[in-house]
Amino acid sequence: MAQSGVAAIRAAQHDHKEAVGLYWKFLDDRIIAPIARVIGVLALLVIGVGLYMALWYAPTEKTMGDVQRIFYFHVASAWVGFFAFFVVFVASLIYLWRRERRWDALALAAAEIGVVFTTLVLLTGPLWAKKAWGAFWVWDARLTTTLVLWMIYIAYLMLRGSAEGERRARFAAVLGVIGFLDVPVIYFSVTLWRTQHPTLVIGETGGLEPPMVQTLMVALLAFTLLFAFLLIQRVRLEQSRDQVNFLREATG
Amino acid sequence: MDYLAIAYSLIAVVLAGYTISLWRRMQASRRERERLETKND
Repeated sequence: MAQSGVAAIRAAQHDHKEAVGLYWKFLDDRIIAPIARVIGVLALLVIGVGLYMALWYAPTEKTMGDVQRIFYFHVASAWVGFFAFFVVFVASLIYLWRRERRWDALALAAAEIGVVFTTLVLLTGPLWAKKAWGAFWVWDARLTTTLVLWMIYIAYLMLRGSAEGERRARFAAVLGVIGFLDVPVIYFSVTLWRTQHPTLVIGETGGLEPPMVQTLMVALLAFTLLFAFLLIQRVRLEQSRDQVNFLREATG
Repeated sequence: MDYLAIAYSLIAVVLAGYTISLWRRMQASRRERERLETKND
């Protein structure tokens, strides 16, 4: 480099802003760090309240007993998992259209978090099922399609390790789009096929009681806030890694 | 240990594990960036 040192790298970063600088202006540490902190603290508080409501405030369900209390954060995990894969879907479509690295990074971040929350769905569901059905796992339509979804996004994460650069991002984006097609299948599986999985009934006779609905809403809010916090941090990590890679190349 | 306790313990372990892993990766990347920047000063 004719002009050595950090100044030269910063100048180069300015010239290649999209690739090595900030993905979006608001991801500047001075702006995003305090916002992330507030969301993180809020998420922790609401999770605390949600846990209290799930374990003590919500009434004990008559047929299932205490094990039904798994339901609140099981459903919240499913919601966040599916929403994360929706983010992957949208970000992947935009990446395929505009070929900007930041959309690929957003898709990757959301996919990783989506897999974490879908793992929670697959861990907590069988514990409820053992009590309800007498078996940890049955090859029910909803369970099977959820397992397939989890495997698709595990494959998505593995794919990212098997190819390089733009090719890797393109392949991953295609899988991110196709993989999401499984989400509506999961949602409608209880009506499309004969299934043992219960359907959420709110506001009807035999449905959830008001304290149960309130608890579910708090759990959904808690995990949505946690998702927002984790997504911001995961995208910041990807941005930081790109900057490190650029600095490595720039310094030789 | 009943299933309810196992379920909430699993949720706590998975989420705490992922958050810690994310935090450690962020720290490692930040240290590496600072090292490379210092090297070039």
